[in-house]
Amino acid sequence: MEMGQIIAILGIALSVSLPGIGSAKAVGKAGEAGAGIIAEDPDKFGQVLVLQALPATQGIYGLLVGFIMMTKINMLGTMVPVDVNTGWQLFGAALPIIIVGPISAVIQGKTVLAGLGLIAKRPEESGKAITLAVMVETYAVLALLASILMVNGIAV
Amino acid sequence: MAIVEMKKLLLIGLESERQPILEYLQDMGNVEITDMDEDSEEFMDIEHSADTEYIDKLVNQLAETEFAIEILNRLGKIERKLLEPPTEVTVRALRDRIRNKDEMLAIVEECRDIDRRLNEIDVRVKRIGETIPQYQAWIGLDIPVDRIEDTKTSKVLIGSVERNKAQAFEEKVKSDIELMYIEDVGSSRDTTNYVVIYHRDIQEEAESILREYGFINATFSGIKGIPKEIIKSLNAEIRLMAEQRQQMLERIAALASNIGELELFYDALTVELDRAKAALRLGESDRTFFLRGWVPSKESDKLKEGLSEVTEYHYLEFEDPAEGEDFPVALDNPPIIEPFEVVTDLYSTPNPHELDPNIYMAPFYFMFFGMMVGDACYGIIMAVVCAYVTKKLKWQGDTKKLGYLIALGGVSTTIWGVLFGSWFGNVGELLGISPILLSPLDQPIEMLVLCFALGIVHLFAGMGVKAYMNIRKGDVWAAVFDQGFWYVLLIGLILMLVGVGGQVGKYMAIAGAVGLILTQGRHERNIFKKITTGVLSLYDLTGFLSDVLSYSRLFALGLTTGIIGTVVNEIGIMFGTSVIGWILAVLVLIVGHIFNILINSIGAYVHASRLQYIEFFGKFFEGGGKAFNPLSIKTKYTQVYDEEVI
Repeated sequence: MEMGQIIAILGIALSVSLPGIGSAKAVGKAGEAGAGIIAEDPDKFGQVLVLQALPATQGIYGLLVGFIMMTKINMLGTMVPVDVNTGWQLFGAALPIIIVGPISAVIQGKTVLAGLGLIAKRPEESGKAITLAVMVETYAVLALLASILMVNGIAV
Repeated sequence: MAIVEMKKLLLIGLESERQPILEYLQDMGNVEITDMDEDSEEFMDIEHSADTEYIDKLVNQLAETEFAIEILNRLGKIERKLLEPPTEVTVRALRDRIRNKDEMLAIVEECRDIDRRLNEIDVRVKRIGETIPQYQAWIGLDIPVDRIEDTKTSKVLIGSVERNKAQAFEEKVKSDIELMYIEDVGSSRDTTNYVVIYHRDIQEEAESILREYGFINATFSGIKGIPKEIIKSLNAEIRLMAEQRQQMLERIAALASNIGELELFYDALTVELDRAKAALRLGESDRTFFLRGWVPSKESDKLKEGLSEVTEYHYLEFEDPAEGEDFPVALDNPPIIEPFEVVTDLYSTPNPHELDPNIYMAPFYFMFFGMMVGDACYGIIMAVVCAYVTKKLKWQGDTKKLGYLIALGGVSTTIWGVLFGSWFGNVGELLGISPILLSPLDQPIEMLVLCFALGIVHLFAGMGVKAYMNIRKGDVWAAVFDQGFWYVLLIGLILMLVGVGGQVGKYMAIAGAVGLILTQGRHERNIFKKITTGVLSLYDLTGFLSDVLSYSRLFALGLTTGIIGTVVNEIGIMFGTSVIGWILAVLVLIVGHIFNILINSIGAYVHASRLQYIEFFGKFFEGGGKAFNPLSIKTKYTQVYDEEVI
């Protein structure tokens, strides 16, 4: 296997795993807090679930970038040759989601925890709790977009 | 198609006719009763102690009924069909239920009784389960435990030795000591248990041996009989308890057929409780009561007529709200706009002095939601499933709105899916269906431009609404200065950016900027402040820029759906090499696509909402209104006939 391919695969692996870890951490924390709220009032399950799902998206964004890179080097079929230069280009293109993904997931998880506190006290304000958490997500979306555009623009 | 006009209402009636009047208002469901204000202090001295007592009673009965419903559901093996619509009842049936409630309360009482009995049984069985091992440890003892006593010549005792010393203990006694007898009668986890008999002559020697091996005396105080027999009777008791438990469950099963009646009763109690609570808000004298509230203007005649039918002894007066007075906000939108109210309500109820934003927001929400899911097949599934379930289960209120919101979102999703050529991810592509508009992944720049363009339209629309509000308030100049100049500046800049219209863009931008510099400081007194505020206002350009960039999420989230769908398909195809493989593949496809729909519709819902809240509402919407909350029939389990509501 060529060095370029290895670098590209490294990029894919990181962009799938790091945001995934971040999301898992945030979703897990939110789930723990959510279970406490549901114990008090099972009817809040729907609201809690939506909030808990919010930081799950970074992991999906990571998978997306990874997948686009996989199709780019045709990993699911016969892999196309990738020189070292292109390999690093692909790796660099994945960096936004590799870096911003996990960090924003964890931070969004904290906002979600605060939002869950809000729901516990004032369930009618769940829309606001969701909006606050979605504000954080913006940056993950932007990183995703940048990564996708960059990967897309690299000629292999 | 906006915020409903309200009239203030004053109603005075006879105390003796309070109940029928309140019931009428509740059936009609269009009057919000407000607390008495200070000017009616003389009425406020009356204590509502009888009412509060009644309310406490109702609250208690409601809790007990809910408990009964819960236990019947849990233990009664009630079969419910999937997607079973709620039972329909008439208002009369609801009210009749409350008037002969003894029968229902008896069932509720019985449920509580059964639960108490079941708990007792469980506790008893648990306790027996814990005691049996204690007797098990002495299973070989064939003397009744209460009869272990010394004889004239010998001592008899029972006790235990640690298991690892047991063998040595036995050998020691058997080989060395005459006149001492021990018998192993059982063992517990770490001890072996013995009966020990020795002659009084060797008492000292025996005691020293017992001490040496750490023999501990055991006693069974207050217990009679042989351990084996005791265990037998305990087991019999467990069987008896199990039988009783079974009987209780049969009683529950027999009661379970009443669940429908109980649910009706629960709703009837809720309705009665709402009415009773409303009575607390009334002012009262010895013979009359005094009610203030709000009613939609167009319902006022109907209220007048209806009340005259209930009783002729009443006084009714309507009054328009004073200038600037806050009144509760009800919205009246056409059915196609109504579902979008749920989005706005999550943010804030509009205040009574502004425009209802829903009609302006709805088309954009519709469009953005669809773009962010953007798959023709998913859209069809969402639209059909949500519309069907909402209709079939007869959802009401916010749930109904949300159901239709997602259904409408599905329609939009289908449209965008066709435009982008996305059918179950890449299935359309494999079948050779080409996109009508563009393929987002292949033409990313075009797609991004489309998103920004739609964003600019959205933002301009928001500014337009604000301008319209200014004009409606009579402040035409504010509309020209605060929105008009921005339009000129922004359109000029956009023209310059895309290079259309030659120098026009440049001059428009300059004109707009100069206009803003000159007018944005118009509220300041000081000339310097006028200018600096004007110049600083141009900084809002960065805000506008970040607002526009925010619409790139339309692109990103739309891609997410397509790509996850494609991944699911690819995984499915990878499995599809044998018969079992194909079965797995179908499973993967079904689960994967359902997951994709769920995760992406949640994403589309929250992000489309966010674009309204932050980008659109930020331009004009104030909010902070109090939603109209009339005294009405609110039910949980049953559905009241529409025709029956007067």
